[in-house]
Amino acid sequence: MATKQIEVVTSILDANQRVADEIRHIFAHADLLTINLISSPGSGKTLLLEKTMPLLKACGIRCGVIAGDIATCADAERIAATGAPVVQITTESFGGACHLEAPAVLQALGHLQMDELDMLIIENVGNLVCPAEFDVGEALRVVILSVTEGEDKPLKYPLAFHVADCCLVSKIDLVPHLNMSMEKLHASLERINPKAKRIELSSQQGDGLTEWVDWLVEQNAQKTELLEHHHAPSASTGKGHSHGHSHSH
Amino acid sequence: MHEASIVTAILDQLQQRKEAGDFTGKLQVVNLKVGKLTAVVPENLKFLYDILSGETGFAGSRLEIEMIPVICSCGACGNEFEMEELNFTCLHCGSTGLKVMSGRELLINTLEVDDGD
Repeated sequence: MATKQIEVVTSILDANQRVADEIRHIFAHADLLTINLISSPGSGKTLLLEKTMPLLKACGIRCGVIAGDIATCADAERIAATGAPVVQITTESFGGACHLEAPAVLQALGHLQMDELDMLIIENVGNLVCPAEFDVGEALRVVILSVTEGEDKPLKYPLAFHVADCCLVSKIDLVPHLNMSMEKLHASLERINPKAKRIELSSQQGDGLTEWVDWLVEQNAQKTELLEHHHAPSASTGKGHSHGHSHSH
Repeated sequence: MHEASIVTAILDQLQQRKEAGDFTGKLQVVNLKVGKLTAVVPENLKFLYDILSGETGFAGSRLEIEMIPVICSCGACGNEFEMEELNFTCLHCGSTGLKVMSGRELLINTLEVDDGD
């Protein structure tokens, strides 16, 4: 039997992208700066947020958090203890996914008073591979690399680092105890994403937190522009998705 | 294993196209284009497609994957080049203003379907 070829040429993640675009529109309307925070499990996302919330509050920025996990509400409880509004998404109800997708974020937004927030941080599921591919409507992406993970991780998981606007190097207080080279780590980051803002910090000791919060405050001050001009970090539509912001992705 | 999410998205699109009447014969092959700058393992996609499609009307069909190289264009010197080893600084002028022209694709390109003759 003969076969015929049918031209399709559509993005596989088209459905997710449509929801992400809808979310981006909602955030622009609400003047809400949203950050997608991505890292390996145990790299210090939740501790960083626990330390960040009071500092943002002191700067007059009202920040909420969406915490993504496969299971448990432990992260949300830790962040809620800082007084920040938190919504937990457990991906169990979305097939136990190893990453957040736009529909789960859209659903979580219904539980947030967006008009009472200036900023929203989406703590993605701990994973350097899967979340990188899924746009959740954020304006900025931040990736954390802890010094205990090894210098070569940006080369092994390039997409997560390549599409980040800011790379945080965490747990720097542990460097003296490790057989690792900060020079090599920075060289890896430089190769994959030479344009991203880079901040070394230790949530435990407090180093670098001021620089991190200053960066957030700066982004918040220029958010109208970010929200108007930022396009999806994903260029997977194959239709020449343009990037309106100044970074090269 | 976000490849499962990707395969589910492929199967959803196939179902929508079938229901829309885009094709009627038996589906044989789904041709994808996958960029090398994606977080996707092609073998995992094929493996999961074989399992997950078995529960749908597309059982027996298979994925074929064409890998797309990472090609960048330099905003400063205009040079366009393929990046075999990832390094997002222009090899020619040292600028970091590179634009990724290809390599992020995650596309369903074509479908091969029995034409019923």
